[in-house]
Amino acid sequence: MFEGIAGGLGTALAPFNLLMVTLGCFAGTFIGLLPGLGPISAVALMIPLTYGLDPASGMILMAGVYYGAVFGGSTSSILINAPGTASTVATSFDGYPLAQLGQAGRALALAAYASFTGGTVGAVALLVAAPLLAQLALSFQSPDYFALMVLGLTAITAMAGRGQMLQAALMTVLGLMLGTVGADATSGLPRFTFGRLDLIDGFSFLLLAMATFALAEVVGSVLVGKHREVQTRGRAELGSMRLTRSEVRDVAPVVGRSSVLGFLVGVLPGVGATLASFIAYGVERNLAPAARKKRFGKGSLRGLAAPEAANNAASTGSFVPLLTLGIPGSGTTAIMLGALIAYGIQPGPRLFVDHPEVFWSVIVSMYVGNIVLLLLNLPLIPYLARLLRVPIQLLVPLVILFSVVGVYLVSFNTVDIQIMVLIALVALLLKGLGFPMAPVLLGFILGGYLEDNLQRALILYDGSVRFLWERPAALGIMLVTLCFLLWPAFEHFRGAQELASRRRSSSAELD
Amino acid sequence: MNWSVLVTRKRLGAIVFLGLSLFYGAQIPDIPRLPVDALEAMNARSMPWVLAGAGVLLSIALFVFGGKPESRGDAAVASANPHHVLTALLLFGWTGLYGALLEWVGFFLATLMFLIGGFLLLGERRGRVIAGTALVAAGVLFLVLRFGLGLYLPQGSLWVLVSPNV
Repeated sequence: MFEGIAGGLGTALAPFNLLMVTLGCFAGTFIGLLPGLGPISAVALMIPLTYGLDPASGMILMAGVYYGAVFGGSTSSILINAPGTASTVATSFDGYPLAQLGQAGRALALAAYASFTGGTVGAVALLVAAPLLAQLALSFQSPDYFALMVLGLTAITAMAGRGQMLQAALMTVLGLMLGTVGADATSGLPRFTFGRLDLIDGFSFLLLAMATFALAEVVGSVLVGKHREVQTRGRAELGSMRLTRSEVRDVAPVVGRSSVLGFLVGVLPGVGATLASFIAYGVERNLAPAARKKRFGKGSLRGLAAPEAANNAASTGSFVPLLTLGIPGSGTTAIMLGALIAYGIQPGPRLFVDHPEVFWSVIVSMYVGNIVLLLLNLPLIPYLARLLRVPIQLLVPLVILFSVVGVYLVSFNTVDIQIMVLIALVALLLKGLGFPMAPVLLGFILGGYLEDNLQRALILYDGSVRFLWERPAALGIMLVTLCFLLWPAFEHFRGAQELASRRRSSSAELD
Repeated sequence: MNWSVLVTRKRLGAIVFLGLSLFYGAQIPDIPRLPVDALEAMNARSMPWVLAGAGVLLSIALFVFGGKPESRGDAAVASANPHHVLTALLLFGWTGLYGALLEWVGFFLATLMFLIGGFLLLGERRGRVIAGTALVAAGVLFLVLRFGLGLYLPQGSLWVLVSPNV
């Protein structure tokens, strides 16, 4: 193994490959900044370029682009609340409020540090435990995945504000409903398409994300007259990029926990960075003390660090099933699988033996990529944050344009733009009625996986739900889910008791 | 009886969702069935039925428990300036129209028109700023997407129609 690592280090640190990873991170960051062009599109766009390179250099370039695009997506989430990819939706929950508070610099710097830590933890874990974790992932079956999706849905408790639980639950149901539009994954039967071919593929995630976040958000700002306000210094300024010692102490355990959690979730094929970021956000919100919990969704550093660390660690984790089993852990690694096959390399258990230079150099280059990304992006932050200095009356049409073009580029169908406007209009109405938007996306993203895995689990267990207690992994995950669901009720009860005892003692003092 | 006390934002939302869930539920019988569905524990209609049921139950729960008085923030939304509401609606309409413009006049010109219209709608009146920003943004986006990334962008059916070569 050490021989392999040394060989990988030699290949990854070769000047040409260092140039590839640097170029990849740079290009990836800029492509990821554009809503609609996330890691999948960024890596796909690189495929023609990699044909002229040797397999190790090609894979190193694509890995760099992957990381860069994930970071670029986080940047647009933080600065303009336009999460270009599903895995950076959770980043916008606290990143954008921080930018609005004039702390965009700190938010971007923290995102870079958390991403670096997540990626580093992921790369080290990948190096050491890849074969072991591959076996664990292989042992997961549909019932366990179903339980994992249910756990993911409990993240709505983290997204619901005070007294908003029912609204959040309803919005999750709406997301799940929207996820059922289009052809059923198992039977292929059309559902809720109203006979229109445009709806056969269902709604794209990006369309929904852009409609509910970017479009509804910017038009919402027009609705409250922000375009008529004189621009304040707070919004226009980048703010300090430094984190205080106490803030670092506060977020360090969050980043550590989320990195490990993100890596473990990322290892599971098909789950990937999105679920990891939502689960990490939900877990950290539940673990936070009551006073800090209130900050979540309003610009909490913990709320930003958790999904950022988790999505990067999960991006690395998703390479485990690709490199050791030949199963892509995410859409992006599926494209890389295609690229490897085009090179005549079959990823899987034989990759260690047949192409050790590819296997180890990709793993080592992930760590190198993280360092390059940090060195490259920290100096870029002031330039990226200049976006905030653009006057609102100019920024609003530009943000709308980027989101609309992003959605259009996925399908090249202009009907999607009209659907996007319609959904944004409904989203704005629901927002006005006090409904949170994030649960819609959570329901939409997890709905498909939830239904598919439940269907498969029921087939495996002859239509019975006994898999929920017969499979130890599913049982364990469901128990954790139950704890997450009951915890807010327990806290509410405890708070009510404390209030009552305080009232009793104060009335006793008065007497 | 003061009916306005009973109408809260939560209750309005509950009514919207109840209607939505009932509409969703009403469409479920239109989902085709397969002959083997009778033998399966779950089919294409199962999840939609569960979701429609959950939607109805949660809406009723929200209506029942959503009677608390409105907060100050709610009032701010309710009393939105009619001029701003009109601007927001026009912006939505203009965005929808951009989709049609893309096909008619092509990517570059449609983007340019969209940006100029958007800036004017939001109150920007400095001609140089409008023209400069729109030209730079549309031009850079067009060049990056078309030549940098090699993506197909619509050229505009209008030009194809009026072109003497066609």
